[in-house]
Amino acid sequence: MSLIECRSLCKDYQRGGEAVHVLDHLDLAIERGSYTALMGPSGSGKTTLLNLLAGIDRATSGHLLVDGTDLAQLDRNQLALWRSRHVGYVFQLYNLVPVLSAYENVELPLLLHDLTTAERHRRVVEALESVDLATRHGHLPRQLSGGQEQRVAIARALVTQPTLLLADEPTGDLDRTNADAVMDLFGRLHRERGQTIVMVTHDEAIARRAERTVRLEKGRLANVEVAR
Amino acid sequence: MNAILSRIRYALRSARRQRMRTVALVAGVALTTALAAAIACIDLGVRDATTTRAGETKLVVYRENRFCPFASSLPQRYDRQIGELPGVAAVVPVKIVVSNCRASLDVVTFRGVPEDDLRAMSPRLSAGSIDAWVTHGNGALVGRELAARRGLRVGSSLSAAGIEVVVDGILESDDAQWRNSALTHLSFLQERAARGGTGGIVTQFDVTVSDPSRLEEVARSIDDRFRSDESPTATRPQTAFVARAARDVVALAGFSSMIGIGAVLAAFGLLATTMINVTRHRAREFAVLRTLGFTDGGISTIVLGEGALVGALGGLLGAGSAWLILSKAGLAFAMEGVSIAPRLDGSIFALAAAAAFAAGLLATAVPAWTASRAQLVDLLRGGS
Repeated sequence: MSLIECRSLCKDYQRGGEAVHVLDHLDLAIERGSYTALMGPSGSGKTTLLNLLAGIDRATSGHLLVDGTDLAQLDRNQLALWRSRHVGYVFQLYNLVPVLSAYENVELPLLLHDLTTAERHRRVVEALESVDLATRHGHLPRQLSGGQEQRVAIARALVTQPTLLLADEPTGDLDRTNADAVMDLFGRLHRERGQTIVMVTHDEAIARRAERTVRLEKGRLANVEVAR
Repeated sequence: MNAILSRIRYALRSARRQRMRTVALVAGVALTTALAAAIACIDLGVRDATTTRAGETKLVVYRENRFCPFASSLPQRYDRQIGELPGVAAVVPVKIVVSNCRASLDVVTFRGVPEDDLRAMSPRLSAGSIDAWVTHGNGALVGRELAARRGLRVGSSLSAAGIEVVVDGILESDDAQWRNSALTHLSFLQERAARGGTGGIVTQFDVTVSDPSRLEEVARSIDDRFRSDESPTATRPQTAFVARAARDVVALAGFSSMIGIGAVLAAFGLLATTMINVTRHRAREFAVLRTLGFTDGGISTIVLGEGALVGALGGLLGAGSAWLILSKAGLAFAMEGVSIAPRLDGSIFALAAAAAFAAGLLATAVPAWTASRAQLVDLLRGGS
């Protein structure tokens, strides 16, 4: 059984009194431990699909199963709890809490887990080490470079050891050097930990780093390319 | 439980890091709380001083149709005639000289009383001694609030209204009139106030009746006794006398209460508006927290936690400073020689602090609800 199963998934928005079909009867399966890039032109439904996979938006119709859970059956709070256990989300603009240090930002999702202080500390330190920021614990986001901020955001997404790592254009706001560093990190996570990753990108070069590229057009699956 | 503590910790951390915002909000709440507590204390003091209660035994005999100590003059010999009336337990002739007859926050009131009467009253002193006062013709026992206001200690000299006295003791009393007066020898004050004129004149008589239920009856009998005399009297219960003499101050206190209540409501409105704006400004932060898995209740707890923190800190700080200022400054409204002091009641300060805490929670209730109910996708797109 696939980790993610989308069957006839639809998402409509009302815009100016008209229904816009952002996702149109999408069928897609993503395997556990895979590394998938979602590509497509603007408005093709990439980010909407990512939001549905993360449980931060709801499908209009169709079925979406993630790790056997039908997300449509969960209410707002159940969905939030489910996210805290199964999803790590990396935003394009990092979205770190500006008044918290790198350590505290990474610690945030663990506040929702019943852990001892020592265990929480161990996990935060480990997550920051895994993104090569062991010496930046006390730095506030404004004291970090864009690349470092994004690495903190990745550490925050990984610290709960999520089933699924979702990233919405994680390199979209970074220069080439920092983008490569983030992609190297994703590649290492996938190879060494078997982390399932689904990443939205506009950049062909970034997409080539993934095992598989899923292309969407007008809310439908256009094609799937598997890297050699 | 752990989860709730974690969210409260997040709220504390966030408040600590947004230092300027937190300090400004706490200062606003503290000022409002201090203002509210001070107004309540003044209001209580006014009610204490002017509301006639069952059990009241004090009467003040004044010259009829006179309302200022400068104008009220009664022969001292009336004390014997008043003392002979049925129902009268004690009579003290009092000469009053004030530095200012109008409404003011810093009036020096000299009250001249006979030595024997003062000893019979067994006044409580926090410093100095009655024996020293007895031996000094120009000695004075100064009320605690007047002493605090003027920075007086035993041995200090006090000069006002052309009269100079030496402080022989600091007087404690439940009566605001005494806490705000300088008690001198009656003869000394009569001599200084007469300025070459005749002595034997007093301003008023403080009368104690033996049975509170006969208060009005004794007052009438005193006025009847002197109705056709050279100096007709007007006798009232002490609280009614204070209420009449200080009616402008009472009106002023009532007016300031209204302004104060308005200020408290305005401050609450400002706090609520600020919290709404702060929450709106943090919409994206809350969206991130929601994405990480914080529930509606979790987000609400964080917003309410910050409101509660601001309310609690501001409340404690405001109530504490109001208590400190009112207790140390010795403020009292005075007019026509009577004083009305704020009453420092612990329950008022506790209530003010609790109200500030509740206001902090209340001001953040709507922002907390809004933040928790916002649509996550809209927030992540940059909406609020």
